[in-house]
Amino acid sequence: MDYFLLYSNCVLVKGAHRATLCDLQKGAVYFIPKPLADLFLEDQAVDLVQLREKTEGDMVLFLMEIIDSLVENQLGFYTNQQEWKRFPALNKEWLFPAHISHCILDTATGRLDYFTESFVEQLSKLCCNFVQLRFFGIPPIEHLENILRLITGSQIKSVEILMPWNTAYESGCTYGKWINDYKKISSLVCWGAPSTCVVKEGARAMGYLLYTSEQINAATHCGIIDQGMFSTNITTYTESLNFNSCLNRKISIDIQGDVKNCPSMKESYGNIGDTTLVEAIGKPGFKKYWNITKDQVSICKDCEFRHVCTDCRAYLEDPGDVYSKPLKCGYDPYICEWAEWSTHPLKQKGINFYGLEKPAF
Amino acid sequence: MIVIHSQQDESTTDDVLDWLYYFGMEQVKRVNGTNPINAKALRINNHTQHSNLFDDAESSAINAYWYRRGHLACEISEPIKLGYSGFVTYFEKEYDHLTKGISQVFKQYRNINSFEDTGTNKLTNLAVAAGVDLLIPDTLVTADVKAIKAFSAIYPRIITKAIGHNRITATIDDNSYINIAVDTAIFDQDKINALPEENNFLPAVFQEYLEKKYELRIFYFHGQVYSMAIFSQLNEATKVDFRKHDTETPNRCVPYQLPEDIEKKLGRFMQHIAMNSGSIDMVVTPSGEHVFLEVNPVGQLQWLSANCNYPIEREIAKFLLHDS
Repeated sequence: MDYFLLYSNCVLVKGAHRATLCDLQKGAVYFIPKPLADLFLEDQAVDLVQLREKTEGDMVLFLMEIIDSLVENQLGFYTNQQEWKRFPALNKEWLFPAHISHCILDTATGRLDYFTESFVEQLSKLCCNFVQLRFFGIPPIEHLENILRLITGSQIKSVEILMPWNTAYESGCTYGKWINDYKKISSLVCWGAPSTCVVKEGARAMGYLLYTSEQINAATHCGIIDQGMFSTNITTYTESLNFNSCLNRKISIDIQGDVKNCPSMKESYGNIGDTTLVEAIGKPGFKKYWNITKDQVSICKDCEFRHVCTDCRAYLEDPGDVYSKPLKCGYDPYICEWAEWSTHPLKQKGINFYGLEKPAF
Repeated sequence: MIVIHSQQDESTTDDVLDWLYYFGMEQVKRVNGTNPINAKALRINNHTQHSNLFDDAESSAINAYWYRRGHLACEISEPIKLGYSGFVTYFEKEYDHLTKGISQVFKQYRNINSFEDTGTNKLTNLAVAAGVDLLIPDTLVTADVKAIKAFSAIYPRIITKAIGHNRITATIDDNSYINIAVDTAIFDQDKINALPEENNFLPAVFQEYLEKKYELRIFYFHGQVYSMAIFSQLNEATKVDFRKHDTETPNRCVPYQLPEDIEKKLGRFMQHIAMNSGSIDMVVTPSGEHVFLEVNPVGQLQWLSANCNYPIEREIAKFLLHDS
């Protein structure tokens, strides 16, 4: 047993100052100190003989203890070179059969009148099975139920809904009824509620009813990078290796009805009133951010969280540089510390540029 | 036209359909085993074999066929069921024969599995596996207590399992039934010792208990092999049979590269039993030997593709599209 081998769905991601070990099967992230991360061969295995030979006295014990704890936590196992051959690295392809993976629809009024049978047919042609509806105004009950009925009868697999909390719906048990009646709702988030809580616990990522006291009343709320948004799984990991981890295969329609890659971005590719989704996607520039990976973004490329993290190209630290770090990320991978992005002196240029001076939260 | 025979809510079928739509294929007919075959016709003559089993699909328009899971429903009328229950078995046998016949007809198309594969015999499969030089566990099939006792004396531990069917739906009365799972279990020595020798029971399978380094789940598909190692020994609940899932602490499941000679032998095995696709279970012993256990024509696939990021569903779709 002269090698320590990581299970291949536990992947090592090296940052400037330390590495993470991302358990893509069980969804957990562990930290690995740099001296140990540097010893990995092909990011998979540590030659224990070499570790003992090349490392200074006390360090050997320290590193061996960490490796022991990794074995104990079932992140890897002791093996020999012969057996290592039997455990190939994980396939790095992003396997996701969709021309558009997610569609975000924003409305200021509470109405999405273009959401008709023919609109659903457009989504179906694009193999778009995940939809997010963001209501910045209260949707009339009849109108939303009409949309939910269309979704029920379609190929759409899940819909996430954000809407303003209001007393009438609360006392009428409307929210709970929707969750019960429409099984394709993954989560219904009511913002501006008296308190933040999980009202109804779903199962298998479906059927959640959540209240938040936050005000999610405009698209400018998007783009926040936070540990709570990390998702540690094979789909996120492989997508971030190959594509942009926010904008790839996304489409959205903003409150004006403008078809965009992202509702927070300026570039519009036509209005839903006179443009089909396929036409918009086909226009030059629509996909321009899709291939910007974390490994190309400055600072992010040195960050140990880059393959469990999301991205943002709408709000950048340096608005003039398309490869700039997301504005709303306060993490510094060189010192491994989180800071509040909105008050950070280096962020003020970007904050002024996007008119984000008065965050509403 | 691609014809898929499956069950409602069968998630692998859903995933393959997503890929088919992604590749632009819309001519797909999915049958969920709920269509009664009473009203269907199968015509066999010198010119053409024709079946209207899939409604609007003319046989000649079918380009590929995938048997994923499930039965074709047969409707036995209430008067027969209630008044002549003794005939029900006969009706079911006739339906079974028809289903198999239809399955054979569909084998003329480019196909993945057929309904007949579900009848694959675990005992003959073990013999075929041994015939192509795959290692198999020492296996005894009997109801003879003396033979069991003699067998158990050779090995530190033995296991027992059903010969062919590991699920029983037992009718209690007209309105109720219970489902019984007959899982693989260790047959404890003291229980074996306590067996009265004149006992009369159903023959079952007895096998030497194999110490495992890890277990393998292998998806064989028209010559392609996707293997996964399951570290079931880290977890007490899954030590004997990894299928007894532990959702709290799922077994570590990772891609595995079979030795070339084992892969070749598995290919020969599948050719011998004439099954073009199936999920094979193997064990790797502490000394590194690969031992064949069984093949399941309708095994779980998502488990492999999700943990190993294998493009299985995409490759199935491409095969059905004549693109591989």
